[in-house]
Amino acid sequence: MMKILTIPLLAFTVLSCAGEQTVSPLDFGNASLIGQTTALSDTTKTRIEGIYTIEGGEENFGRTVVAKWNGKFLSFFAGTNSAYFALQGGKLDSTLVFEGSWRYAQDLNTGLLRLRIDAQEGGRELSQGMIPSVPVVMRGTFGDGSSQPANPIVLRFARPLTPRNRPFWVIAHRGGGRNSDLLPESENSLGIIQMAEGLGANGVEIDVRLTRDGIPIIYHDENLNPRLVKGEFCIGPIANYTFAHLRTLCTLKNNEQIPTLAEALETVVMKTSLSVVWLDIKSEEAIASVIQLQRQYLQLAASVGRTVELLIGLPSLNAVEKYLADSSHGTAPAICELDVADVRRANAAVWAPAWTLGPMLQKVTEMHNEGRRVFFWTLDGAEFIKVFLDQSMPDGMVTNYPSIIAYEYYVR
Amino acid sequence: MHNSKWMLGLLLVTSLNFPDEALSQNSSRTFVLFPGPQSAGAFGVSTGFSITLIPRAIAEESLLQLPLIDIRSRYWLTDNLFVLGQANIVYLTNQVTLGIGWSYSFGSVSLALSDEAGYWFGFADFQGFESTAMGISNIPSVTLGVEFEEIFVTLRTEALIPFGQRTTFGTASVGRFNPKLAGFAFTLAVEEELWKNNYFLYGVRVQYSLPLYQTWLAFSSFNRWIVFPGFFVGYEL
Repeated sequence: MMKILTIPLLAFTVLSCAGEQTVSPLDFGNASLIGQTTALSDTTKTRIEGIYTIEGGEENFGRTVVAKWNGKFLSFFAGTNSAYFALQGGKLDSTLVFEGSWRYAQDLNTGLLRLRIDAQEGGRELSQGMIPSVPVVMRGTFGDGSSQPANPIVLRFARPLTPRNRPFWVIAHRGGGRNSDLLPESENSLGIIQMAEGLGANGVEIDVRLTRDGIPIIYHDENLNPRLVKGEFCIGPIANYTFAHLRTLCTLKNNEQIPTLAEALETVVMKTSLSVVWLDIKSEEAIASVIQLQRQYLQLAASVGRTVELLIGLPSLNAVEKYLADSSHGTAPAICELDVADVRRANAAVWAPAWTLGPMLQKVTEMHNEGRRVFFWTLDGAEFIKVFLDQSMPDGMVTNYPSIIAYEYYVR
Repeated sequence: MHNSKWMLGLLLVTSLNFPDEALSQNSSRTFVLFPGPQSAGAFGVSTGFSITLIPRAIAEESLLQLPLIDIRSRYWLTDNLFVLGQANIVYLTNQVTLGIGWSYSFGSVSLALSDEAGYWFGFADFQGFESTAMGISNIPSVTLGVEFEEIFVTLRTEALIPFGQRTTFGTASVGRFNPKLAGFAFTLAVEEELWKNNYFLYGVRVQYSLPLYQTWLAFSSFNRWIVFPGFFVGYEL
C-alpha cells in the first residue's frame, strides 16, 4: 500500500509548493523630490514627449524609448524586455525632475528611477513652456528592487512623436492589467484604473456583473475564487451574493473592495484622463442598468468638461437582443464582439473582434467606411501587435501590457 | 537564472546518489521508462493518459484542461543503446518526441542519458479562433532507475530547450526562432505488475519552466518560470 501512496503524496507536496510570487509597489518615500516641485504646464509636457536614445541602461531598456504623457504620468516605453517607466514630474527652479519606477511588463524585474533635465540641457526653456534651444538631455539613475537608484542612465531627445491623422486607443484589459502580472493594484479595482495611464493606456476595459440584489459591480470571473479575492467565505457564483455580503465578506487580492460600476465610472471621469471605457458585460441582465449608468456618467463627464466614451459591450447574441430591447439603446453607444452583420444590426460604434481570427483587413475597411471603429482584443505579444499595426490599421487594441502596444505604435 | 543553477544542482545530486546495493538481475520485462538493462531487439510500448495542470494564473476560468492520449515506446538497438519515442495527442495540443539514449546498469540501479527532438502542434478552429501553432524543441535527459523487488522506480530529469515556433491566426502568421533553456522537468514513475502479467506505469511529472507548448492556446506571454504539475498513467502492452 505504501508504494502506491508514494506518487499521490509527492504530487500533493508539489502542488502545495507552488507558492505565489509578489511584486511590491515601489516609491522613494521620504527621499522623494516630487513634493518639492511645482506642476508642469501642458505645453511643457507636450514638448518633453518624443523618441529618446538611451546611454547607460541599454541592457535593461534597449537603445530607444518612447516618452509620452498620459494624464499625470510621464511614461517611457522600451522595445527591450517589454520595459516601461511610469514617472511623475515637476519643476524645481529651472530643473525638471521625474521619479517613479521601471518594470519589465512580462516578468518581475522592477526598480526605482529618477531623472532630471538640467537648466543648461533644456530645463530652463522647458520650465517656462518654451522650445528648448539645445537638445534635451535627461540624466539620472535607476536601481534594482527597492534599493536606491545607483546605475547611471542618460536619455537624449532624438525626435518628436509622429503626428497622427486619427486617434489610436491603447485599452488596458481589466482596468489596467491582470492579477497574474502582479501589479500593485488588483485587476478591476479603482486603483488599477488610476494606474492604467502610467502603463501607457488611454482607455480601459472593465468587466460588469450583477450582484444578487441587482447592483452592477466590476469583477471578471463567474465565481469568487482565490485568484481574485481574499475572504474565508468567498466561494461560488458571485451572482449569489448581495452587494452588502460582498462588501462584508470579500476583498480583492490587494485588499481593495470590489467596486461598483458607478464607483469605477466616477473614478474614470474624475480622477483620470482616460477617453474610452469598454464595459464588458458579463451578466446580460445588467444591460438595462448599465445603460442608465452610462447616461448618468456621460452627463457628469460633460459637466466637468471631460471627453470620454462609455461603450456598452455586446459579447453575445443574447446581449445584442437585450440591448436592442432597451428603448434607449439608440443613444447608448456600444461595442460589439460578434460578426460585422451583428455590429450593423446593433448599430455599434465599435467592432471588437478577437485577434485570433486574424487581421481581417477587408472587414476592418468595411467598418471604417461605415464610420465605425475597430478594436482588436486581447493582444500581448509584440510580434503579433506589429502584424495588426501593419496589416489591418485598427483604431485600438485591448492588451494586458499597454506599454508594449504604446511602444510599437508611437515609435513608428 | 539562479533557478537554473539550483535545478542543475539537483540534477547532479539525483544523478550521483546511487544506492550501493548488491547486484541483482532485473526483470526480463521491457519497460518504457525504467532504463535497463535489456537485450538488443527488446521493445516496449505503453498507452494511457497524461495531463499537465495549467496554473490558474494562465488558465483562469476559461482554459479546459484535457487529458492527452499518452503513447510511449522504446526499442533496444544493443544491450545499452536504445531509441525512444512518445506521443501526446488531444487535437488542440499535441507533441511527438523521438530520440536516442544510452544506458548502463549497476546491479539494481540503472542510469541512462538520452536526447529527444520534439515537435508540437495544435489547432483551434472554434468560436473566436482561427489559429494553429507548431514548434520544435530539444529535450536532453538523465534517467535513474532503481529496482525494488518487483517495483521499478524511475526518476528522470529533463532540460527543456524550445528552438522556435510558428503561430497562424486567420491569414497572418508569425514565426520565432529563439533557442534557449526554458525549463526543467522531473518525472517520478513506477512500473509494476498490478495483476498477473498486466503491467502499468504511473507517475508525476513536474515542469518548472516558461509557459511552453501546453499553454499555446492561452497565448501566455509570461516571461517567468512557473510550476506545471502533471500526472500520467499507462498500460504496458
